[in-house]
Amino acid sequence: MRKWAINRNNLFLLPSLIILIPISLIPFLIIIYFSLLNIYTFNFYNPSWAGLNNFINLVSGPDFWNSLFVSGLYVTVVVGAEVIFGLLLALFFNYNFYGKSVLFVIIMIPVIISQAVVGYMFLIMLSDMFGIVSYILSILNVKISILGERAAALAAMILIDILIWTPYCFLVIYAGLKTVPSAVLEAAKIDGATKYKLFRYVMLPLLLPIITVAVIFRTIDAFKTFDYVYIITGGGPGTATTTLSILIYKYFDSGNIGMSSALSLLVLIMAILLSRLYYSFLVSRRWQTT
Amino acid sequence: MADHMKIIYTIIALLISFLFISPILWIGVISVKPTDLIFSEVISLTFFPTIEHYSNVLSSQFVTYLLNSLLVALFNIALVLLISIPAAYAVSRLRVGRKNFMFWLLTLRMTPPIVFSIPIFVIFQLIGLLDNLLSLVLVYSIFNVPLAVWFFTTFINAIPHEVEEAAFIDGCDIYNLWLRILIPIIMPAIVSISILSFIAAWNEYLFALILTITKSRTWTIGSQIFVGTYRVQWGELAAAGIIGVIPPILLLFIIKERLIQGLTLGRLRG
Repeated sequence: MRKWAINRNNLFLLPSLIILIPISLIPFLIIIYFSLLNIYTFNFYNPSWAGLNNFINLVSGPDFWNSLFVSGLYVTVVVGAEVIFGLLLALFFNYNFYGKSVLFVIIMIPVIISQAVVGYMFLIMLSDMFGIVSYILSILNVKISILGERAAALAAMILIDILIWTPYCFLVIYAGLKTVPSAVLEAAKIDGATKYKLFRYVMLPLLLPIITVAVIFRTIDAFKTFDYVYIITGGGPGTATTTLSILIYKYFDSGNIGMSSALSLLVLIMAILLSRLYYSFLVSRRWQTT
Repeated sequence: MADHMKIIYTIIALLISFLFISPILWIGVISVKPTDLIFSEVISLTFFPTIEHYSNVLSSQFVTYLLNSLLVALFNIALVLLISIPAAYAVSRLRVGRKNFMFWLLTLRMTPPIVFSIPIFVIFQLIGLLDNLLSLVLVYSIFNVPLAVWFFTTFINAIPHEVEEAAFIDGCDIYNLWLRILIPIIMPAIVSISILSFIAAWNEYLFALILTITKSRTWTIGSQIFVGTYRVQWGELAAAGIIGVIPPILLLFIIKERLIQGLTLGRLRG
Protein backbone atom coordinates (compact mmCIF):
# COMPACT_ATOMS: atom_id res chain seq x y z
CA MET A 1 0.00 0.00 0.00
CA ARG A 2 2.69 2.40 1.04
CA LYS A 3 4.81 1.55 -1.99
CA TRP A 4 1.86 2.29 -4.27
CA ALA A 5 1.38 5.67 -2.64
CA ILE A 6 4.99 6.60 -3.33
CA ASN A 7 4.65 5.52 -6.95
CA ARG A 8 1.51 7.54 -7.45
CA ASN A 9 3.20 10.66 -6.12
CA ASN A 10 6.04 10.13 -8.53
CA LEU A 11 3.55 10.14 -11.40
CA PHE A 12 3.39 13.92 -11.07
CA LEU A 13 7.07 14.11 -11.94
CA LEU A 14 6.70 11.72 -14.85
CA PRO A 15 5.75 14.21 -17.60
CA SER A 16 8.75 16.40 -16.85
CA LEU A 17 11.02 13.36 -16.73
CA ILE A 18 9.74 12.14 -20.10
CA ILE A 19 10.72 15.45 -21.67
CA LEU A 20 13.89 16.19 -19.74
CA ILE A 21 15.59 12.79 -19.78
CA PRO A 22 15.98 12.59 -23.58
CA ILE A 23 17.31 16.15 -23.81
CA SER A 24 19.59 16.19 -20.79
CA LEU A 25 20.37 12.80 -19.23
CA ILE A 26 20.83 10.89 -22.48
CA PRO A 27 22.99 13.69 -23.93
CA PHE A 28 25.06 13.48 -20.77
CA LEU A 29 25.69 9.76 -21.38
CA ILE A 30 26.42 10.42 -25.04
CA ILE A 31 29.02 13.05 -24.10
CA ILE A 32 30.78 10.57 -21.83
CA TYR A 33 30.76 7.92 -24.58
CA PHE A 34 31.93 10.28 -27.35
CA SER A 35 34.65 11.77 -25.19
CA LEU A 36 36.31 8.34 -25.11
CA LEU A 37 36.26 7.92 -28.91
CA ASN A 38 38.25 9.17 -31.85
CA ILE A 39 35.10 10.43 -33.49
CA TYR A 40 34.84 12.96 -36.29
CA THR A 41 32.02 13.82 -38.66
CA PHE A 42 33.72 11.83 -41.41
CA ASN A 43 34.04 8.61 -39.37
CA PHE A 44 30.87 9.11 -37.35
CA TYR A 45 29.52 5.61 -37.97
CA ASN A 46 32.92 4.00 -37.64
CA PRO A 47 34.77 5.61 -34.71
CA SER A 48 37.81 4.12 -33.02
CA TRP A 49 38.46 3.83 -29.30
CA ALA A 50 40.54 6.67 -27.92
CA GLY A 51 40.59 6.00 -24.21
CA LEU A 52 41.60 9.17 -22.43
CA ASN A 53 43.47 10.57 -25.43
CA ASN A 54 40.98 13.40 -25.98
CA PHE A 55 41.45 14.60 -22.43
CA ILE A 56 45.22 14.28 -22.67
CA ASN A 57 45.20 16.26 -25.91
CA LEU A 58 43.06 18.90 -24.24
CA VAL A 59 45.22 19.51 -21.20
CA SER A 60 48.48 19.25 -23.11
CA GLY A 61 47.46 21.73 -25.83
CA PRO A 62 47.30 25.51 -25.46
CA ASP A 63 43.65 25.99 -26.52
CA PHE A 64 42.03 24.63 -23.38
CA TRP A 65 44.20 26.68 -21.03
CA ASN A 66 43.73 29.79 -23.14
CA SER A 67 39.95 29.41 -23.03
CA LEU A 68 39.97 28.64 -19.33
CA PHE A 69 41.93 31.84 -18.83
CA VAL A 70 39.65 33.88 -21.11
CA SER A 71 36.49 32.55 -19.43
CA GLY A 72 37.98 32.98 -15.95
CA LEU A 73 39.09 36.55 -16.61
CA TYR A 74 35.81 37.40 -18.31
CA VAL A 75 33.63 36.05 -15.50
CA THR A 76 35.71 37.61 -12.72
CA VAL A 77 35.83 41.08 -14.26
CA VAL A 78 32.22 41.30 -15.41
CA VAL A 79 30.67 39.90 -12.23
CA GLY A 80 32.81 42.15 -10.04
CA ALA A 81 32.06 45.26 -12.04
CA GLU A 82 28.37 44.51 -12.49
CA VAL A 83 27.76 43.86 -8.79
CA ILE A 84 29.57 47.06 -7.75
CA PHE A 85 27.81 49.21 -10.37
CA GLY A 86 24.49 47.48 -9.64
CA LEU A 87 24.88 48.21 -5.93
CA LEU A 88 25.73 51.86 -6.55
CA LEU A 89 22.78 52.22 -8.89
CA ALA A 90 20.46 50.57 -6.37
CA LEU A 91 21.63 52.96 -3.64
CA PHE A 92 21.09 55.87 -6.03
CA PHE A 93 17.56 54.71 -6.79
CA ASN A 94 16.80 55.04 -3.10
CA TYR A 95 16.84 58.82 -3.58
CA ASN A 96 13.72 60.63 -4.59
CA PHE A 97 13.41 61.78 -8.20
CA TYR A 98 10.88 62.24 -10.94
CA GLY A 99 9.77 59.47 -13.30
CA LYS A 100 11.34 56.72 -11.22
CA SER A 101 8.94 53.96 -12.27
CA VAL A 102 9.36 54.71 -15.97
CA LEU A 103 13.16 54.85 -15.77
CA PHE A 104 13.06 51.64 -13.76
CA VAL A 105 11.36 49.83 -16.63
CA ILE A 106 13.69 51.39 -19.20
CA ILE A 107 16.73 50.14 -17.30
CA MET A 108 15.24 46.62 -17.40
CA ILE A 109 15.20 46.58 -21.20
CA PRO A 110 18.79 45.32 -21.78
CA VAL A 111 18.05 42.29 -19.60
CA ILE A 112 15.15 41.04 -21.70
CA ILE A 113 16.29 41.66 -25.25
CA SER A 114 17.84 38.90 -27.30
CA GLN A 115 21.56 38.32 -26.83
CA ALA A 116 21.70 37.79 -30.57
CA VAL A 117 20.42 41.33 -31.15
CA VAL A 118 23.05 42.61 -28.71
CA GLY A 119 25.52 40.84 -30.98
CA TYR A 120 24.16 42.37 -34.18
CA MET A 121 23.95 45.79 -32.50
CA PHE A 122 27.60 45.85 -31.53
CA LEU A 123 28.65 44.23 -34.77
CA ILE A 124 27.28 47.37 -36.39
CA MET A 125 28.59 49.79 -33.76
CA LEU A 126 32.11 48.35 -33.56
CA SER A 127 32.59 47.97 -37.31
CA ASP A 128 35.95 49.39 -38.37
CA MET A 129 34.88 51.89 -41.01
CA PHE A 130 31.29 52.81 -40.35
CA GLY A 131 30.62 51.86 -36.73
CA ILE A 132 29.88 54.76 -34.43
CA VAL A 133 32.32 53.62 -31.74
CA SER A 134 35.23 53.36 -34.17
CA TYR A 135 34.16 56.65 -35.71
CA ILE A 136 34.20 58.48 -32.38
CA LEU A 137 37.56 56.92 -31.51
CA SER A 138 38.99 58.09 -34.84
CA ILE A 139 37.77 61.64 -34.16
CA LEU A 140 39.57 61.43 -30.81
CA ASN A 141 42.62 60.37 -32.82
CA VAL A 142 42.71 56.88 -31.33
CA LYS A 143 43.70 54.63 -34.20
CA ILE A 144 42.66 51.16 -33.23
CA SER A 145 40.84 48.29 -34.88
CA ILE A 146 38.70 47.20 -31.94
CA LEU A 147 37.85 43.76 -33.25
CA GLY A 148 41.28 43.31 -34.83
CA GLU A 149 43.42 43.44 -31.70
CA ARG A 150 43.42 40.79 -29.01
CA ALA A 151 43.26 42.93 -25.89
CA ALA A 152 40.83 45.42 -27.42
CA ALA A 153 38.44 42.70 -28.59
CA LEU A 154 38.34 41.01 -25.19
CA ALA A 155 37.94 44.37 -23.45
CA ALA A 156 35.08 45.20 -25.81
CA MET A 157 33.29 41.93 -25.00
CA ILE A 158 33.71 42.61 -21.28
CA LEU A 159 32.40 46.17 -21.58
CA ILE A 160 29.39 44.97 -23.57
CA ASP A 161 28.60 42.40 -20.89
CA ILE A 162 28.83 45.07 -18.20
CA LEU A 163 26.58 47.43 -20.17
CA ILE A 164 23.96 44.74 -20.72
CA TRP A 165 23.97 42.97 -17.35
CA THR A 166 24.60 45.71 -14.77
CA PRO A 167 20.82 46.37 -14.85
CA TYR A 168 20.28 42.77 -13.78
CA CYS A 169 22.43 43.18 -10.67
CA PHE A 170 20.73 46.51 -10.03
CA LEU A 171 17.27 44.91 -10.18
CA VAL A 172 18.17 42.10 -7.80
CA ILE A 173 20.01 44.30 -5.30
CA TYR A 174 17.33 47.00 -5.44
CA ALA A 175 14.67 44.39 -4.66
CA GLY A 176 16.73 43.41 -1.63
CA LEU A 177 17.28 47.01 -0.61
CA LYS A 178 13.54 47.57 -0.39
CA THR A 179 13.25 44.78 2.18
CA VAL A 180 15.70 46.46 4.58
CA PRO A 181 13.38 47.58 7.38
CA SER A 182 13.40 51.36 7.67
CA ALA A 183 13.13 51.07 11.45
CA VAL A 184 16.65 49.63 11.52
CA LEU A 185 17.99 52.57 9.52
CA GLU A 186 16.13 55.07 11.69
CA ALA A 187 17.52 53.50 14.83
CA ALA A 188 21.06 53.66 13.47
CA LYS A 189 20.58 57.31 12.52
CA ILE A 190 19.31 58.16 15.99
CA ASP A 191 22.36 56.46 17.44
CA GLY A 192 24.42 58.91 15.41
CA ALA A 193 25.68 56.71 12.57
CA THR A 194 27.33 58.61 9.72
CA LYS A 195 26.30 57.89 6.12
CA TYR A 196 29.37 55.74 5.60
CA LYS A 197 28.87 53.81 8.83
CA LEU A 198 25.19 53.38 8.04
CA PHE A 199 26.14 51.76 4.76
CA ARG A 200 29.11 49.75 5.97
CA TYR A 201 27.75 48.39 9.23
CA VAL A 202 23.98 48.34 8.74
CA MET A 203 22.99 48.12 5.09
CA LEU A 204 25.85 46.05 3.69
CA PRO A 205 25.46 43.17 6.16
CA LEU A 206 21.70 43.14 5.54
CA LEU A 207 22.27 43.21 1.78
CA LEU A 208 24.99 40.58 1.70
CA PRO A 209 22.65 37.62 1.11
CA ILE A 210 21.00 39.39 -1.83
CA ILE A 211 24.37 40.43 -3.25
CA THR A 212 25.37 36.77 -3.07
CA VAL A 213 22.30 35.88 -5.11
CA ALA A 214 23.30 38.43 -7.75
CA VAL A 215 26.85 37.05 -7.79
CA ILE A 216 25.60 33.47 -8.13
CA PHE A 217 23.27 34.12 -11.03
CA ARG A 218 25.68 36.42 -12.85
CA THR A 219 28.53 33.93 -12.47
CA ILE A 220 26.38 31.21 -14.01
CA ASP A 221 25.25 33.34 -16.91
CA ALA A 222 28.62 34.98 -17.59
CA PHE A 223 30.11 31.48 -17.68
CA LYS A 224 27.50 30.52 -20.30
CA THR A 225 28.06 33.56 -22.55
CA PHE A 226 28.09 32.52 -26.17
CA ASP A 227 25.64 34.37 -28.40
CA TYR A 228 27.03 37.83 -28.86
CA VAL A 229 30.69 36.92 -28.54
CA TYR A 230 30.16 34.36 -31.29
CA ILE A 231 28.27 36.86 -33.48
CA ILE A 232 30.72 39.73 -33.00
CA THR A 233 34.13 38.06 -32.96
CA GLY A 234 33.55 34.35 -33.57
CA GLY A 235 36.14 33.83 -30.83
CA GLY A 236 38.80 35.91 -32.56
CA PRO A 237 41.02 37.62 -33.34
CA GLY A 238 43.02 34.43 -33.08
CA THR A 239 41.82 32.91 -29.81
CA ALA A 240 41.54 36.16 -27.87
CA THR A 241 37.82 35.86 -27.12
CA THR A 242 37.46 32.08 -27.37
CA THR A 243 35.61 31.28 -24.17
CA LEU A 244 35.08 27.66 -23.13
CA SER A 245 31.62 27.65 -24.76
CA ILE A 246 33.03 28.94 -28.02
CA LEU A 247 35.91 26.45 -27.96
CA ILE A 248 33.40 23.60 -27.66
CA TYR A 249 31.54 25.00 -30.64
CA LYS A 250 34.76 25.43 -32.64
CA TYR A 251 35.71 21.77 -32.12
CA PHE A 252 32.19 20.71 -33.09
CA ASP A 253 32.13 23.00 -36.11
CA SER A 254 35.43 21.64 -37.37
CA GLY A 255 34.02 18.10 -37.09
CA ASN A 256 36.05 16.98 -34.07
CA ILE A 257 33.20 15.50 -32.05
CA GLY A 258 35.49 13.61 -29.67
CA MET A 259 37.42 16.65 -28.46
CA SER A 260 34.24 18.68 -28.35
CA SER A 261 32.61 16.07 -26.09
CA ALA A 262 35.66 15.77 -23.85
CA LEU A 263 35.69 19.52 -23.27
CA SER A 264 31.89 19.51 -22.79
CA LEU A 265 32.33 16.92 -20.07
CA LEU A 266 34.94 19.01 -18.27
CA VAL A 267 32.71 22.08 -18.46
CA LEU A 268 29.73 20.07 -17.27
CA ILE A 269 31.72 18.84 -14.26
CA MET A 270 32.61 22.45 -13.42
CA ALA A 271 28.92 23.37 -13.68
CA ILE A 272 27.86 20.49 -11.44
CA LEU A 273 30.45 21.44 -8.83
CA LEU A 274 29.21 25.04 -8.91
CA SER A 275 25.59 23.84 -8.64
CA ARG A 276 26.49 21.71 -5.62
CA LEU A 277 28.01 24.77 -4.01
CA TYR A 278 25.04 26.99 -4.76
CA TYR A 279 22.29 24.46 -4.13
CA SER A 280 22.95 24.40 -0.41
CA PHE A 281 22.80 28.17 -0.45
CA LEU A 282 19.63 28.41 -2.53
CA VAL A 283 17.65 25.98 -0.38
CA SER A 284 18.82 27.48 2.90
CA ARG A 285 16.08 29.78 4.05
CA ARG A 286 18.11 32.39 5.82
CA TRP A 287 18.29 34.84 2.95
CA GLN A 288 14.79 34.45 1.59
CA THR A 289 12.81 37.62 1.58
CA THR A 290 9.41 36.06 1.09
CA MET B 1 14.29 66.93 0.36
CA ALA B 2 15.15 70.14 -1.41
CA ASP B 3 13.44 70.47 -4.72
CA HIS B 4 16.55 71.34 -6.72
CA MET B 5 18.26 68.17 -5.45
CA LYS B 6 15.33 66.18 -6.79
CA ILE B 7 15.82 67.74 -10.21
CA ILE B 8 19.57 67.04 -10.18
CA TYR B 9 18.89 63.41 -9.26
CA THR B 10 16.33 63.17 -12.03
CA ILE B 11 18.89 64.40 -14.56
CA ILE B 12 21.50 61.89 -13.35
CA ALA B 13 18.91 59.09 -13.50
CA LEU B 14 17.98 60.09 -17.04
CA LEU B 15 21.62 60.02 -18.11
CA ILE B 16 22.16 56.58 -16.58
CA SER B 17 19.04 55.15 -18.23
CA PHE B 18 20.13 56.70 -21.51
CA LEU B 19 23.53 55.05 -21.23
CA PHE B 20 21.97 51.61 -20.84
CA ILE B 21 19.61 51.85 -23.78
CA SER B 22 21.84 53.95 -26.04
CA PRO B 23 22.90 50.93 -28.16
CA ILE B 24 19.26 50.10 -28.89
CA LEU B 25 18.45 53.75 -29.62
CA TRP B 26 21.39 53.92 -32.02
CA ILE B 27 20.26 50.77 -33.82
CA GLY B 28 16.81 52.37 -34.03
CA VAL B 29 18.44 55.37 -35.73
CA ILE B 30 20.34 53.14 -38.19
CA SER B 31 17.15 51.25 -39.02
CA VAL B 32 15.51 54.41 -40.42
CA LYS B 33 18.61 55.98 -41.97
CA PRO B 34 18.94 55.90 -45.77
CA THR B 35 21.58 53.34 -46.79
CA ASP B 36 24.05 55.77 -48.40
CA LEU B 37 24.00 58.01 -45.32
CA ILE B 38 24.78 55.08 -42.99
CA PHE B 39 28.19 54.95 -44.66
CA SER B 40 28.82 58.55 -45.68
CA GLU B 41 27.66 60.39 -42.57
CA VAL B 42 28.23 57.96 -39.74
CA ILE B 43 27.28 60.21 -36.87
CA SER B 44 24.70 62.51 -38.47
CA LEU B 45 21.24 62.60 -36.93
CA THR B 46 19.78 65.10 -39.40
CA PHE B 47 18.27 63.08 -42.21
CA PHE B 48 14.85 62.28 -43.53
CA PRO B 49 13.86 58.91 -42.02
CA THR B 50 13.04 56.08 -44.41
CA ILE B 51 11.02 52.91 -43.93
CA GLU B 52 12.88 51.27 -46.79
CA HIS B 53 14.78 48.87 -44.48
CA TYR B 54 11.65 47.78 -42.67
CA SER B 55 9.79 47.11 -45.90
CA ASN B 56 12.78 45.14 -47.21
CA VAL B 57 12.89 43.06 -44.03
CA LEU B 58 9.15 42.44 -43.98
CA SER B 59 9.08 41.37 -47.61
CA SER B 60 11.90 38.85 -47.13
CA GLN B 61 12.18 35.36 -45.65
CA PHE B 62 12.46 37.08 -42.29
CA VAL B 63 8.67 37.03 -41.86
CA THR B 64 8.70 33.22 -41.99
CA TYR B 65 11.45 33.21 -39.38
CA LEU B 66 9.40 35.47 -37.11
CA LEU B 67 6.44 33.12 -37.43
CA ASN B 68 8.69 30.13 -36.66
CA SER B 69 9.88 31.83 -33.48
CA LEU B 70 6.31 32.66 -32.50
CA LEU B 71 5.13 29.07 -33.01
CA VAL B 72 8.07 27.59 -31.12
CA ALA B 73 7.61 30.02 -28.21
CA LEU B 74 3.84 29.43 -27.92
CA PHE B 75 4.04 25.63 -28.08
CA ASN B 76 6.94 25.71 -25.66
CA ILE B 77 4.84 27.69 -23.14
CA ALA B 78 2.09 25.08 -23.39
CA LEU B 79 4.55 22.24 -22.88
CA VAL B 80 6.33 23.96 -19.99
CA LEU B 81 3.09 24.68 -18.11
CA LEU B 82 1.78 21.18 -18.72
CA ILE B 83 4.80 19.43 -17.22
CA SER B 84 6.02 21.98 -14.65
CA ILE B 85 2.88 22.56 -12.61
CA PRO B 86 2.39 18.88 -11.69
CA ALA B 87 6.11 18.57 -10.95
CA ALA B 88 6.08 21.64 -8.72
CA TYR B 89 2.97 20.34 -6.94
CA ALA B 90 4.71 17.02 -6.32
CA VAL B 91 7.84 18.70 -4.97
CA SER B 92 5.93 21.12 -2.79
CA ARG B 93 3.05 18.98 -1.47
CA LEU B 94 3.80 15.32 -2.07
CA ARG B 95 7.40 15.64 -0.96
CA VAL B 96 8.94 13.78 -3.85
CA GLY B 97 12.02 14.83 -5.78
CA ARG B 98 12.91 17.46 -3.22
CA LYS B 99 16.62 16.82 -3.40
CA ASN B 100 17.74 15.03 -6.54
CA PHE B 101 15.09 16.33 -8.92
CA MET B 102 15.51 19.95 -7.86
CA PHE B 103 19.29 19.67 -7.90
CA TRP B 104 19.14 18.20 -11.38
CA LEU B 105 17.01 21.12 -12.54
CA LEU B 106 19.42 23.59 -11.00
CA THR B 107 22.30 21.90 -12.80
CA LEU B 108 20.41 22.24 -16.08
CA ARG B 109 20.06 25.94 -15.37
CA MET B 110 23.78 26.23 -14.59
CA THR B 111 25.24 24.25 -17.46
CA PRO B 112 26.23 26.13 -20.60
CA PRO B 113 23.69 25.05 -23.25
CA ILE B 114 26.49 24.31 -25.73
CA VAL B 115 27.31 21.24 -23.61
CA PHE B 116 23.95 19.66 -24.40
CA SER B 117 23.50 20.98 -27.88
CA ILE B 118 26.00 18.66 -29.58
CA PRO B 119 24.62 15.32 -28.32
CA ILE B 120 21.11 16.71 -28.88
CA PHE B 121 22.13 17.44 -32.46
CA VAL B 122 23.26 13.82 -32.80
CA ILE B 123 20.05 12.43 -31.27
CA PHE B 124 17.79 14.57 -33.43
CA GLN B 125 19.74 13.66 -36.52
CA LEU B 126 19.25 9.96 -35.74
CA ILE B 127 15.49 10.29 -35.19
CA GLY B 128 15.07 12.72 -38.09
CA LEU B 129 13.94 15.74 -36.07
CA LEU B 130 16.70 18.03 -37.31
CA ASP B 131 15.54 21.28 -38.90
CA ASN B 132 12.10 20.73 -37.41
CA LEU B 133 10.29 23.27 -35.22
CA LEU B 134 9.26 20.46 -32.88
CA SER B 135 12.91 19.93 -31.93
CA LEU B 136 13.15 23.51 -30.68
CA VAL B 137 9.84 23.24 -28.80
CA LEU B 138 11.26 20.23 -26.93
CA VAL B 139 14.76 21.56 -26.39
CA TYR B 140 13.73 24.94 -25.00
CA SER B 141 12.24 23.03 -22.06
CA ILE B 142 15.82 22.49 -20.93
CA PHE B 143 16.00 26.04 -19.61
CA ASN B 144 12.31 26.92 -19.22
CA VAL B 145 11.25 23.89 -17.15
CA PRO B 146 13.84 24.44 -14.38
CA LEU B 147 12.76 28.09 -14.12
CA ALA B 148 9.08 27.14 -14.06
CA VAL B 149 9.39 24.33 -11.50
CA TRP B 150 11.49 26.39 -9.09
CA PHE B 151 9.12 29.32 -9.54
CA PHE B 152 5.90 27.34 -9.08
CA THR B 153 7.34 25.46 -6.10
CA THR B 154 7.95 28.74 -4.28
CA PHE B 155 4.43 29.80 -5.18
CA ILE B 156 2.70 26.58 -4.09
CA ASN B 157 4.76 26.50 -0.88
CA ALA B 158 3.16 29.81 0.01
CA ILE B 159 -0.39 28.43 -0.25
CA PRO B 160 -1.61 27.38 3.23
CA HIS B 161 -2.34 23.66 3.57
CA GLU B 162 -5.72 24.59 5.06
CA VAL B 163 -6.93 25.59 1.60
CA GLU B 164 -6.67 22.05 0.32
CA GLU B 165 -7.85 20.48 3.58
CA ALA B 166 -10.98 22.65 3.58
CA ALA B 167 -11.65 21.75 -0.04
CA PHE B 168 -11.32 18.03 0.66
CA ILE B 169 -13.60 18.26 3.71
CA ASP B 170 -16.18 19.99 1.54
CA GLY B 171 -16.05 16.97 -0.73
CA CYS B 172 -13.85 18.34 -3.46
CA ASP B 173 -12.04 15.73 -5.57
CA ILE B 174 -8.51 16.11 -6.89
CA TYR B 175 -9.60 17.36 -10.33
CA ASN B 176 -11.84 20.06 -8.94
CA LEU B 177 -9.14 20.96 -6.45
CA TRP B 178 -6.87 21.68 -9.40
CA LEU B 179 -9.35 23.37 -11.69
CA ARG B 180 -11.28 25.46 -9.21
CA ILE B 181 -8.79 26.14 -6.44
CA LEU B 182 -5.11 25.63 -7.18
CA ILE B 183 -4.97 26.90 -10.76
CA PRO B 184 -6.81 30.16 -9.92
CA ILE B 185 -4.53 30.73 -6.93
CA ILE B 186 -1.34 30.29 -8.93
CA MET B 187 -2.70 32.17 -11.95
CA PRO B 188 -0.33 35.15 -11.44
CA ALA B 189 2.60 32.72 -11.47
CA ILE B 190 1.25 31.06 -14.60
CA VAL B 191 1.09 34.43 -16.35
CA SER B 192 4.62 35.34 -15.26
CA ILE B 193 6.06 31.99 -16.30
CA SER B 194 4.28 32.14 -19.66
CA ILE B 195 5.79 35.54 -20.35
CA LEU B 196 9.27 34.64 -19.12
CA SER B 197 9.24 31.38 -21.10
CA PHE B 198 8.06 33.25 -24.16
CA ILE B 199 10.87 35.79 -23.87
CA ALA B 200 13.50 33.10 -23.31
CA ALA B 201 12.30 31.01 -26.27
CA TRP B 202 11.84 34.04 -28.51
CA ASN B 203 15.39 35.26 -27.77
CA GLU B 204 17.16 31.90 -27.95
CA TYR B 205 20.14 31.70 -30.30
CA LEU B 206 22.51 28.79 -29.66
CA PHE B 207 20.18 25.78 -29.99
CA ALA B 208 18.55 27.36 -33.01
CA LEU B 209 22.00 27.86 -34.53
CA ILE B 210 22.83 24.18 -34.18
CA LEU B 211 19.45 22.50 -34.71
CA THR B 212 17.99 24.49 -37.60
CA ILE B 213 19.28 24.47 -41.13
CA THR B 214 16.89 26.28 -43.45
CA LYS B 215 13.16 25.97 -43.14
CA SER B 216 12.85 26.02 -39.36
CA ARG B 217 15.19 28.96 -38.72
CA THR B 218 14.09 31.35 -36.01
CA TRP B 219 14.45 35.11 -36.35
CA THR B 220 17.61 35.30 -34.22
CA ILE B 221 19.37 33.02 -36.71
CA GLY B 222 17.42 34.38 -39.66
CA SER B 223 18.82 37.88 -39.11
CA GLN B 224 22.02 36.45 -40.52
CA ILE B 225 20.58 36.63 -44.04
CA PHE B 226 21.43 40.33 -43.88
CA VAL B 227 25.06 39.60 -43.01
CA GLY B 228 26.55 38.62 -46.35
CA THR B 229 30.11 37.42 -46.86
CA TYR B 230 31.11 40.55 -48.73
CA ARG B 231 28.43 43.03 -47.83
CA VAL B 232 26.46 43.57 -44.63
CA GLN B 233 23.05 45.18 -45.05
CA TRP B 234 23.34 47.40 -42.00
CA GLY B 235 19.93 49.03 -42.30
CA GLU B 236 18.10 45.76 -42.75
CA LEU B 237 20.04 44.08 -39.94
CA ALA B 238 19.17 46.97 -37.62
CA ALA B 239 15.50 46.90 -38.63
CA ALA B 240 15.35 43.13 -38.05
CA GLY B 241 16.85 43.62 -34.60
CA ILE B 242 14.36 46.33 -33.70
CA ILE B 243 11.44 44.14 -34.85
CA GLY B 244 12.83 41.30 -32.75
CA VAL B 245 13.15 43.28 -29.52
CA ILE B 246 9.68 44.81 -29.66
CA PRO B 247 7.69 41.79 -28.33
CA PRO B 248 9.85 41.30 -25.20
CA ILE B 249 9.76 45.04 -24.47
CA LEU B 250 5.96 45.10 -24.74
CA LEU B 251 5.72 42.06 -22.46
CA LEU B 252 8.08 43.74 -20.00
CA PHE B 253 5.41 46.33 -19.26
CA ILE B 254 3.04 43.53 -18.19
CA ILE B 255 5.36 41.77 -15.77
CA LYS B 256 7.68 44.55 -14.53
CA GLU B 257 8.19 43.60 -10.85
CA ARG B 258 7.75 39.88 -11.45
CA LEU B 259 10.75 39.94 -13.75
CA ILE B 260 13.14 39.92 -10.79
CA GLN B 261 11.36 36.99 -9.22
CA GLY B 262 11.61 35.10 -12.47
CA LEU B 263 15.24 35.89 -13.07
CA THR B 264 16.22 34.47 -9.69
CA LEU B 265 14.28 31.19 -10.09
CA GLY B 266 11.41 32.55 -8.03
CA ARG B 267 13.55 32.96 -4.91
CA LEU B 268 13.22 36.71 -4.65
CA ARG B 269 10.18 38.94 -4.68
CA GLY B 270 10.42 42.20 -6.56
